Amino acid sequence: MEFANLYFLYILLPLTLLVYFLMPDVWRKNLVLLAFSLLFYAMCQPVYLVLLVGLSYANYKLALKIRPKDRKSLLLPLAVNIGLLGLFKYLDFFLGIFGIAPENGLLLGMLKGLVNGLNSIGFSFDEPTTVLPIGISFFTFSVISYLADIYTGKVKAEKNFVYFLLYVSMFPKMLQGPIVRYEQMKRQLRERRTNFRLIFEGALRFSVGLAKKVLLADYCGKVVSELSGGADQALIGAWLSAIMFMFQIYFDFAGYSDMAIGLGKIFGFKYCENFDLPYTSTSITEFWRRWHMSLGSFFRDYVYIPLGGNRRGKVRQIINLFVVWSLTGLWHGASWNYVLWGVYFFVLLAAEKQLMPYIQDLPKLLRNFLTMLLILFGWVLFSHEDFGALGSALGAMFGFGGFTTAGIWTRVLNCLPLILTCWLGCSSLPRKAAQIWAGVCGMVGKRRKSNTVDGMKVLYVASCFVFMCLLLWLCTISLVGNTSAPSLYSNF
Amino acid sequence: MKRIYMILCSVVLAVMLLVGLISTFDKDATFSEDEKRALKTKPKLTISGLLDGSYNSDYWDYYADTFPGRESLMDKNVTLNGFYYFGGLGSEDDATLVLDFTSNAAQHGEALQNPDTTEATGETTVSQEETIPEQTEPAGAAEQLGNIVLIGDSAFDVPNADGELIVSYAQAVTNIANALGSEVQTLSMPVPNSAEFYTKNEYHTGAHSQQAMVEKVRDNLGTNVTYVDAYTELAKHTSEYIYFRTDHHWTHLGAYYAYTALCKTLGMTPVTTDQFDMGQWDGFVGSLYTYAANYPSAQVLKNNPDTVYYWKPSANCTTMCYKSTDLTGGYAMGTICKVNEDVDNKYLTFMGGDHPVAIVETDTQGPCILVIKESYGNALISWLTNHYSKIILIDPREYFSSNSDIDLAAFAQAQGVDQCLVINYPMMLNSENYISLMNKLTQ
Repeated sequence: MEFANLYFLYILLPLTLLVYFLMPDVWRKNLVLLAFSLLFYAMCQPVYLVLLVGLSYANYKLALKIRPKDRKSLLLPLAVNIGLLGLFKYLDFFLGIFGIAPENGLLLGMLKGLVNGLNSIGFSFDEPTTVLPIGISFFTFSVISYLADIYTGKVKAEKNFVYFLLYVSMFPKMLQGPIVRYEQMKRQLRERRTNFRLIFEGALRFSVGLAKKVLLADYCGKVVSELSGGADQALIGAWLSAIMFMFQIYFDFAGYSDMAIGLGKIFGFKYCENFDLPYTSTSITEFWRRWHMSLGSFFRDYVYIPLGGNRRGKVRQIINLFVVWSLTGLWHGASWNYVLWGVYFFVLLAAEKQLMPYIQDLPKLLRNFLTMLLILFGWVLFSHEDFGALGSALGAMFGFGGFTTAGIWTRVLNCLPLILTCWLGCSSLPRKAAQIWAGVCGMVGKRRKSNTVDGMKVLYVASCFVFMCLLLWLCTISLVGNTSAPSLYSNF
Repeated sequence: MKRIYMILCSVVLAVMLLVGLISTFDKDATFSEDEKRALKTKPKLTISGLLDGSYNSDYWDYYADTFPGRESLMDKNVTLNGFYYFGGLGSEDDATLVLDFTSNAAQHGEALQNPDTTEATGETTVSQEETIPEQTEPAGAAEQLGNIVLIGDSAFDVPNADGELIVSYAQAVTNIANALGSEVQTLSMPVPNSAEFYTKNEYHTGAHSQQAMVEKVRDNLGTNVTYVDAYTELAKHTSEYIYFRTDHHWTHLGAYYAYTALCKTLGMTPVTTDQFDMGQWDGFVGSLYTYAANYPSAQVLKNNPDTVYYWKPSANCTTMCYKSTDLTGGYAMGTICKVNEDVDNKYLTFMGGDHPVAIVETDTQGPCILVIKESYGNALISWLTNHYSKIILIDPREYFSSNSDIDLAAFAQAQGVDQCLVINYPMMLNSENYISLMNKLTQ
């Protein structure tokens, strides 16, 4: 289920919060959170709830058997998780490499057969459209980090299954991350303190994330789909489409992360940050430090460094980087364009390392512009699974489809306010403004800590409250008025 | 401070809970007046629905459809759309809004169908005392390429040419001629819509040139098909009220000029309009507005409605509508130019909308004509009553929504058909779906 769903916002979430906060201690709070998380998952994919709980139990048991620094004991648990991810997500992709391409996929075909069989004896299931258990990529990566951390001796295996199941399945981060490490959660699962200020901040963060998704990303997505629905693309349309997609994917994913972090905060958890104004970056290296940070650090800690990182010479380092970036690409989807997208960044990063001394002195604004241009082309690769469509989109961007199409300038005019808002939203301006406002109201430093009521502080909190209500109100209007598009990242 | 945070948090939670409670226990609306559609009802709980997840997703849709205060929130969403679909501050003849025909359906739930199917779904009301036929789902849904463009106080649907499709359209017409044989004279009359004559160059040149489209049809017709050049006749009269501004159809007068083109081709003398009594409906706001109703810039259409002028035929007509060519389940229609006051879609004045099969018998001495058409054909029929003793209409979209096959040649022979006219507007010339339905007529 999406968080951007009226049923979630007005039934499931308030009910969860009410029951949760009525519980007197952390243990019972955990049980409530676990129950609602499982319910949440079951509402999306009821059958796979069995898989989620079963796989979690298997991992819980397997992890108990891992001995630190004993390679063999890590092998089986890793194989189980990577194997299942491969089975559900990449089977058809790999079969395709060997020229075997069963119509509508091997597993999906089998599932459809099963469903048809059941329907012929009196059931009436809808025909399945996917076999991919939602959230499996995030689940697998969380578990791998857990298993690897036990192996390296960073953490001890969790002895209580309830804690472990809650760690992997807690609904704020279950479906789309961030990829939270067990190391960060171990203590929080057992003892966490919360207070109304944190809850309030969490709610505000959630509202901001919801607004990014509902009020920005979804409208950008609408423009993108309308433009790709048009028959002929020319230069202006292709650029407009690419720019809108660039905004869409950022606000969609960063919005989701905000919602997850905000919800976590309401329940007293502190998740890692996932986005740090990536579109303000002045180099590709910087971009990847700011974009989907929990994934980047996962690949750094669990692939790049174990492979030897930069400690085994230049050649080996380049190979390691190549592996990391191919995997990063592949993680985003079982299709060659994602691999291409990953390798594209490998090439850019390698080139950037060599060219850095020359680029360094360029003005910051220019470096940001050039970085964004390269990122933009990256998103064009990312957004076209079909290579024919990719070719014509790139061709159109370079003017091979003419300059304009009928009505394109009106379209640009129609979405001008949206473009400007997105552009502002990507910049550091909102953050700076919020910081200044907090500073003016005395919400930073010592004054904040004191619990005395003070006019400016009340003004600050009131302004946050009004802002939050306004966002929720606009999101509700938009959700009623439009059927919200599913998150781009829900397929990963 | 602690207490302030506590109060604010509690207020938010309380409001959310309250809305949740109201939404659970309030009485659900079942129909949306604004969108002219039935709202979703609570899904039935079944084991299979619960296991395959469809129960939950249906429930969320139902929940969103029956959310408390939905109508007023929808209105506010129109205002919000003013931000997302900025109309500009430019001069009056600049376009203010461009919408995609096919992919925009999500904006208004399922209410936003292709304009051409609106009368098929909602309002196939046949006037007066007759039995109203069972409603059918539209057969020719969507699958068209093009944009809706708003310029000044007029809206246009701008077609995109698909060369190969137009060739196969011409082939489909030729197939009909082949199937009917040499005893029947088959005529093809592709007609332009308003976008061809009242828009800036960019909307009616290149891939959007409707002149090129109709000429492409003409050039690809078989030798046994006679082309009717309605385009030239219409182009001569663009200063007259031949197209609606808020609807995607032509007016009765527009159809009249196409009729004069037909007369020219067949060597008949057209009647003049002044010999008929006129009627009119004021305040007609058509399909193009319905399509764009969610956008503030389209309110100009609502504020400047069309007038439907119509000329009452002088011939005595008896009209029967049927679901199929076996002529069972027929219902009579009173007059072919009439519509009830309470029907919003006043284009239904003409033939009461689309029917699978309709047969108009007149007291005029003359041949029998079979008209294969979508809704553009409806406004043409009253003019034909001055020349034909029998006019048979088949709408492939309606026909194949309630039938799976047809023996067109046998039906035409049984009815004594002398001529067959295939009339379509540009959206259909480029519609894969419609062309496949035309092909089904001869398969």
